[in-house]
Amino acid sequence: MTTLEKYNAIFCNVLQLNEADLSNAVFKQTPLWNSIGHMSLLSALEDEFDILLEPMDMMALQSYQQGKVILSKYGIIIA
Amino acid sequence: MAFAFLNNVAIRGISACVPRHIEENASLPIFSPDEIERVIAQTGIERKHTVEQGTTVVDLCAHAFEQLLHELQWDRMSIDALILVSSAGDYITPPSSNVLHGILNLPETCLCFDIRQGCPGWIIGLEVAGSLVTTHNFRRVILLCGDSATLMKSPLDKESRPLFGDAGTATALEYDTEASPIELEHGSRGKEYHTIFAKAGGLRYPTTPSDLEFRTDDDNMTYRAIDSHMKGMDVFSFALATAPKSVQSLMNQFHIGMDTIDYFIFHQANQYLNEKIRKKLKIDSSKVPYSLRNFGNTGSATIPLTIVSQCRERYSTDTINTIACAFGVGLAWGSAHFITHHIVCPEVIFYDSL
Repeated sequence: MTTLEKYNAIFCNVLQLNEADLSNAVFKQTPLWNSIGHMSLLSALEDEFDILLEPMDMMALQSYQQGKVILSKYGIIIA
Repeated sequence: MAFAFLNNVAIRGISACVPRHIEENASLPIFSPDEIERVIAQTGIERKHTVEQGTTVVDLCAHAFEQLLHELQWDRMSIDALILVSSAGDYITPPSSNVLHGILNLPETCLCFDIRQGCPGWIIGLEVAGSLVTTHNFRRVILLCGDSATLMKSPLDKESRPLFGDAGTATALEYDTEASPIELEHGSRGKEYHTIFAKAGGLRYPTTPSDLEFRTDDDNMTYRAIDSHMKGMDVFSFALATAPKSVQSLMNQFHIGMDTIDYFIFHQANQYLNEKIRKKLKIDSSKVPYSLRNFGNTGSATIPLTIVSQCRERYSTDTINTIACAFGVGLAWGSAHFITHHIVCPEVIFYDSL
């Protein structure tokens, strides 16, 4: 699996979204993306990419698109 | 940072009481099966003991008090002060501690007062109760901490409903010149008071009929104006920023070595957050007990409830070096370092509704 496929699978699984809807996924605006959904996302991303997100990055990850930028800080290029 | 130390104050015992009624998170109607599976995995909370209408923290704390007094074999006439820490009282007035004073048949010489606090409450209560004892003006003080928080939350709030349970606890303090000092650190962020907030029902916004109607806000959360509602990620951010720093500051200030501590008892917020705090402080998991799975977040009761439900045998039989840390409503936080010697620590008891 590519990093993009892994990344998409996490968002689809946690937020119960189709791939077509991922680019519009935003914290608090996507139905299952509340604070508990956010923790599920963070946990899944940390496990999948073997990283520990810094608190500032945990808060900054507010959308599907922003997540890619944040992961790049940890050397994970989503492609 | 506000630091304090209290000499001559011994913790003699801790007890806890929860309602017998259990709410299983897996059965909550507001979640789909897939969704609740993830909620349980992240929060670590499978079930909570919850009060039924008509039961309050006064009932739970009264039972915890009676059990503790019995196990300590203390004469109730020897109690010099009773402090109740809770988010809400049975009545607007009088304070619930005075109601409890009557229920518990305490002497007229007993000082009673409430501290209105939630999750950080046990640390704040320990500071206040210990301050009464340290001067020897009050020889025996009982600190009651707990909440019937589920009565204050929206049953439709997906961020609160799976997290919160109800409990009442009692902690007995006694003047003792041989006692190791209790060392504490406290802090507050009042500008963020609205992060955990029940808007209606106080004097600023007296309850109106519309406050009893459920509304869904911009964040897709459904609750009434009378319900206590939290901005989950703001609380998460606050806790990550303050709790590790508080513990580290306490250890630095009082020259406490990490290796000397037997248990770090954290306020039980949720598993994911608490594990972040533990890992940030680089604490071995064997030193950090959890009571979340069966009790959830019980507000100011979580620290004593975790001691009683998870570590009672060791606290009963050994000398235990503890750091406790709590954070939440206010926003406020605090940490405490204390050493206990063979304290009275009976099993959790259950309250049956009448």
